[in-house]
Amino acid sequence: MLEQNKFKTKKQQQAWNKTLAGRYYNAMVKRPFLFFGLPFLTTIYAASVYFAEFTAYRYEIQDGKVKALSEEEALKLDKGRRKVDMKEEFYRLQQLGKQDDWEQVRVPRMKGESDNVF
Amino acid sequence: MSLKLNIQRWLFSTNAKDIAVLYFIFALFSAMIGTGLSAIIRLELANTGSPFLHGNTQAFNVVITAHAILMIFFFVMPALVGGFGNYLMPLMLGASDMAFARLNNISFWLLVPSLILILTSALVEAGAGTGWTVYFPLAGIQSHSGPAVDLAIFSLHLSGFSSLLGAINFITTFINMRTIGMKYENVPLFAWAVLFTAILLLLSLPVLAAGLTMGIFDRNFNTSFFEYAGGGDAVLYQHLFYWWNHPEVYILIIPGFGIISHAVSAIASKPVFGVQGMIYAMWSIGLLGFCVWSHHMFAVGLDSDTRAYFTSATMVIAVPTSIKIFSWLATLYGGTIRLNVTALFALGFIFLFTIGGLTGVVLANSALDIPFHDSYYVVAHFHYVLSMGAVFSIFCGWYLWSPKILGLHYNERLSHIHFWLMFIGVNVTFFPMHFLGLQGMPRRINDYPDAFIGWNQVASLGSIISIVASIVFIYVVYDQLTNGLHQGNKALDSQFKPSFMGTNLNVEGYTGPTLEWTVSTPPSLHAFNTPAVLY
Repeated sequence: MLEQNKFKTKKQQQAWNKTLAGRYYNAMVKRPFLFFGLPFLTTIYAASVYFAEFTAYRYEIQDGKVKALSEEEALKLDKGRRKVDMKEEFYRLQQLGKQDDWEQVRVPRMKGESDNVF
Repeated sequence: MSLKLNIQRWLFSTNAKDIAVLYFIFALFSAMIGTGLSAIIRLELANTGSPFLHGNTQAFNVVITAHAILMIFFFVMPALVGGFGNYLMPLMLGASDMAFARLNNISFWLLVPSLILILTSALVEAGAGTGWTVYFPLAGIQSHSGPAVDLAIFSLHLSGFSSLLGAINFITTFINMRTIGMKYENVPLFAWAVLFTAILLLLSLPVLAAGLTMGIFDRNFNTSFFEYAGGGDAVLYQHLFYWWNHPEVYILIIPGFGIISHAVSAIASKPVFGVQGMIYAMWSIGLLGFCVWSHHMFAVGLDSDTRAYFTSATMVIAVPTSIKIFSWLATLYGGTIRLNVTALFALGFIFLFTIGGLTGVVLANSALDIPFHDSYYVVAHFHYVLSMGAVFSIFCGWYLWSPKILGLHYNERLSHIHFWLMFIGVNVTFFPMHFLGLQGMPRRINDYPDAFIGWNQVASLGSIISIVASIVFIYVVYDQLTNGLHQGNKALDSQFKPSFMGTNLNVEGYTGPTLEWTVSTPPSLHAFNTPAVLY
């Protein structure tokens, strides 16, 4: 923890104070609102405004993928389609397989299970 | 004390500490009614076929309306801002009292008729079944004839007026009454939190008042601000309402942030990590709080660009909120953690508020918000940030400061039982609501298809556990008040007494890092008659 906060000798401290980071840090300690608060608030507010562009672009791409059918396209889709009626489908499906080729079978009971034959 | 003196002290009180105690009593009373109403909601939803209210949907809507208004206006706000704010802010600033002592008295006593009005509104005629949002035209005269909605609106007006006066008082106190040597950057985080809350109240409440007044005029004086037939626009009401309501959700949680900062610092025996970042995070949350109101109304048919702006602005709020969460974690990191009940509530807050925040980011996407709109997913989201955010912070603050405020100690073991029951109860209640919402169960409806029975029964079971937890809390307070002198100093010991290996930050018994710990326990009615000097 705090490895970055290394001890600086007086000379090292003076050298650091002259660097850009050092000067900004010292200015920040003196005027926290100007050098910390204002950039903080501005960044957050500007981000909220400018990220809207990205979100709008994302929405546009999404919109491009989903398209409503035009009337002509819809008409084309109808071509050669079999007319479906729910009742007729039901009766047709009933006729597809044999209806009476089954018998009731008694399932063998597990060992020790009651047979329930009265 | 004679009756006359009692009346003088409590009814005509101009002392911030006494008024804070009145706020606490008031909040506890309202919380009990609000909890009772929530029990009715969960009993009704425990099974299909309206088992409790027998198909009376209006009664159900009246109950949910009253539940929300009581919890928001008469429990969370009075407890956090009125109670903790009045008691602790002057102490933390080294001030003898609030700036406008008589205004403070009016602020509190306006709340009492306001509570009476809202309870009356639920009981007269068919009640106000509008939802706490009081949307028009549902709240209009055709849908809600009779005085119930008018009473509810008057109640909101009065409590809004009370909050406004309080806000003016807090802002003035913060700016003018800091003690000698207390620069803005030295002000404790809770006092900052109350300041931001007050600013949000001051800027947003007048707009709500305007919207509600227009509603009253529509109902009673034949205007048509929100009436399409007369050239009005119902969506205008939603804009006015949400201009206030979005800052309102931060009004409910920012004081909680302040409490949690102090609690985390106390339990880790360390100063808060990144205080400047914390202050500006609250500031930017407040600022952005005014720029995102329309994310509550994606479903009204906003155009794509508007939805894009409100989506991105809402998601950006996650950044300062995360700064706060990570700063709390960084404060805990490497600290000597004392796992007392304050710590449990603070950690519970951080964990559960983060879950609520994550579902908030999901809802911020307008494309997702439209299917989730008015579903139980939304109910789960806002209960995670309120029931487990704001309410946990109230409990946390109570366990942190109540021994100081009262000079009476609570029973540690009972308080731990309270925490675990509450933690399990609220999670069992609200976590399944995410599933119900994802499956499409709508909110504010008192019946549902059989497919939703399972999770609804789990949620109702959870609500019973939470109610038991609330009863345990009331007993903890009762025990603290009647037995507090004999509990020993365990509660404060576990908070602030330096351990052998611990930090020497808090020396000399119970001296904490902020000014309220330097005064006597309980603090005298006029602390800091001689201003404290910070150097």
